[in-house]
Amino acid sequence: MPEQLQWSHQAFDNILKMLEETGRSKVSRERIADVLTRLMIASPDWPSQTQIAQGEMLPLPYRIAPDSVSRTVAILAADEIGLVTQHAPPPNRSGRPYKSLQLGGPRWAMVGVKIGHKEGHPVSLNVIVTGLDGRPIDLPDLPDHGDGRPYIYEIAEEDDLVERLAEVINRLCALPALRDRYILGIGVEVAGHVFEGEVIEASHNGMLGVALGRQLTRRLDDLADRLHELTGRHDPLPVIVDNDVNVLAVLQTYQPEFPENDLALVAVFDDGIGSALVLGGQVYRGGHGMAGEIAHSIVTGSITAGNTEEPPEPRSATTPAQGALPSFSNKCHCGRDGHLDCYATPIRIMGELGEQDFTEKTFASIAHRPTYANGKLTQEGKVFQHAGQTLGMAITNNLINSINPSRVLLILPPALVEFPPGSAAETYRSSLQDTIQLHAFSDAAKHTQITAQSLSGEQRRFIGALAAAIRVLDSLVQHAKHRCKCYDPKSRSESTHKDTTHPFASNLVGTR
Amino acid sequence: MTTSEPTNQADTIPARCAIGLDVGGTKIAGAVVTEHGHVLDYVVIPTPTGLAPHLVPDALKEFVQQLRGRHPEVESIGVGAAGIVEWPTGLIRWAPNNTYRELPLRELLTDATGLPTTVDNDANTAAWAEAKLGTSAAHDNMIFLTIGTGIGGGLILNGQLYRGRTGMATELGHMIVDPHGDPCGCGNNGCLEAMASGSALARLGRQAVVRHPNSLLAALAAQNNTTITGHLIYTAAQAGDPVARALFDRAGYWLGVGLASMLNIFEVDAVIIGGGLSETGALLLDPARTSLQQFIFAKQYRPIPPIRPGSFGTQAGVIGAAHLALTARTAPTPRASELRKPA
Repeated sequence: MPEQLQWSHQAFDNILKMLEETGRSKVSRERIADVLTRLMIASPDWPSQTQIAQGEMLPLPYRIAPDSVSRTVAILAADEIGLVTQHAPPPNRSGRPYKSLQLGGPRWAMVGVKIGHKEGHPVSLNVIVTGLDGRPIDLPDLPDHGDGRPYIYEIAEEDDLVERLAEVINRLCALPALRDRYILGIGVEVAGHVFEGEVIEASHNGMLGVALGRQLTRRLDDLADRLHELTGRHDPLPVIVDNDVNVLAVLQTYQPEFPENDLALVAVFDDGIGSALVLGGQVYRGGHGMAGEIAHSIVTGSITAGNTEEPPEPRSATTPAQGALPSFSNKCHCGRDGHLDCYATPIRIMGELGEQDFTEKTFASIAHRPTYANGKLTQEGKVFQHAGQTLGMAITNNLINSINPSRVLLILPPALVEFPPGSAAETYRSSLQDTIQLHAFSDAAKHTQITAQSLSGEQRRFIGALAAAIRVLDSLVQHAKHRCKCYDPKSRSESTHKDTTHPFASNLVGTR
Repeated sequence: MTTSEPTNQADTIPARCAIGLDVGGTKIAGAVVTEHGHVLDYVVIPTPTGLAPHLVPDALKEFVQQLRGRHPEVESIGVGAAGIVEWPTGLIRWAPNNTYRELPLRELLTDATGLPTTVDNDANTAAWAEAKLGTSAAHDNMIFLTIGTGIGGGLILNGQLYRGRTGMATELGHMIVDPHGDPCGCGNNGCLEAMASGSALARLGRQAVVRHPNSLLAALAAQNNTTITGHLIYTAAQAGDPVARALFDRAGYWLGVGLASMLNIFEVDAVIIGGGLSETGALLLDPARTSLQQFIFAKQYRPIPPIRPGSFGTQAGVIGAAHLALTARTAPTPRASELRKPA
């Protein structure tokens, strides 16, 4: 039993209780979580029970008992529940017929919201509605429906963010395509410090101490009533608020190619660096939701060494001139100096080069200029080199030497992923790699794979909203696995064998 | 061999107990410890020197036999060893101050004694003792730093030891706090170990007496040609020597810088400092607390965790190793030699 049930998990707990009481033979919550996880990883494919039991969708397959999978699927697919939909076998297929299994189906939906911001204010809601399998649900009643893009709703200056969110969500969920579905929950991602549903501080959107989860759930009673019809208990609708990079990390854990227990994710956005840690296959958020913060680690040149006996004095930083982009020497937005955020972001790079305006396009044009001219390092080359070195230093120091992850996933602006040879962007990437090689302890760099993915602003709106939606299902799964804050972690014993309840249990010594 | 008096000869209620071993570069500590962390027997022997790979395992087997002879009720063995140790196989890949390499210690001890054995990194076992039995046992997330000649680290996240993929995680002593700082033994510059460890303190002390020949520290060093050690600097600082105190201020400052970065990443509930230098108390920890406050991110929005000395001093390693052996699940686990066979 949970020691201290979080309000946002009450509905999940009652859904799980209902599942436990449904079947003729009992299934464990852990097994329910295993089946849901495997189905999510397999999505958009619909695997069979055998494939689920064998773990075919996992990068390192391990088997779970077919009999327990069969009992679990029977409960999840029961008519009155419909968390899983069984589809008839494909026609004209030879061999023993089997039913393919879809996570969710016509009875369930989740909502994901990414809050867009500009100049310290929330300016838009990017909303996506998905099935439990994460596939966007088409809403033909909306004029701009189709192709899975998020629906974008502007937030006017006079709008109350929570009221606006509630209005949009209630309106969407009342559409014919959704009004008969249970809403498993609402996922909201915010750029900033989030802890247990509260936005503690988000300078990018001007939010400070906003109990967003609780405030929003109070305005979504109609949606909670739908779950009440199912469980017979009136619980608050789960509203899961999380940091924007943490939800991207959650999304990674459901990718079929996710082969590792430990992953560090570093996202370079226009004006800041975000990072998240996946430890033991689960996103680690720390005691108060701020873990994985490398943006404010001190990277270089910020402290003068002083004489050997006295503590050094911090360098004094400046603030940018009115209307100018901030440069390397300007203070961090947190008010301090020498942080990674002061060096490695596109806006700081542009500011250091004396540019006045920032767009993805202008950044790309500068990033693709040559690093050398007439055999000499250009100004662009110097600036991109320094920016890459600082990012490499922060990754080495805070992630590779401390966590020894299997992989560091860099999420970068497209200009820093696709670039011409000899360009400043290439220098950014190569100096990042060189710094890691130079400063990683022992052979840690050799065993840590560094991969990069490109994410444009447009893609970020979609992926952010999608990841927020999937974060809802993940909350149910983590609750079922007893891996959320509802349970006392000290009640777990130290395991001498790898956690086989997690699908990503990795080879103990091998390098993938 | 030095033997200490047992701290608690008999528990009122018979308790399960295990042997805890702490294998360092210069000495091996062994203890019989109850599940509640009471030390029933504690012995220290020198680490065998010499290049032959069997020397340390042989010494450990003999040590276990000796302790088991006095305490036949022990039911398992836990080892904390310096270096890179794979978990749960107990394969010691490398240790900076020991000659053995790729040593399957868990397998060797299990085969030799017939007792279930766990082998982990020594900082991990000490962290485990503090996390489960120390005064900070209420915290789910905790950083343990052992500051002595070098700096080691153990990390408790969600109530569990975090070891990383190969056991190399939490090399917190090699977090770079100043890229332009002093050279570290690992080849980098400005590692926390190079800036705030006992050896860093001693190195800076040697430089300081040259610049300040009239200081108390220089006078103490001159007496009987004493080598400058962390302990000597501590003595001078305790006596009010401003040169020695400045050295502690500097080491504490860099310790705080490192802790700020660690807390930004791990956001734990407590920081526990163990190892020899922790005994200097406020001399080191007060400047560390000040610089931590200066550099930690968003201190106004979250509690800054306390920085405390550990509860078990130099016995943390053996207590944690034994407790880990008693509490780890004993399901059949892969043997290091089997895991390393090609597929």
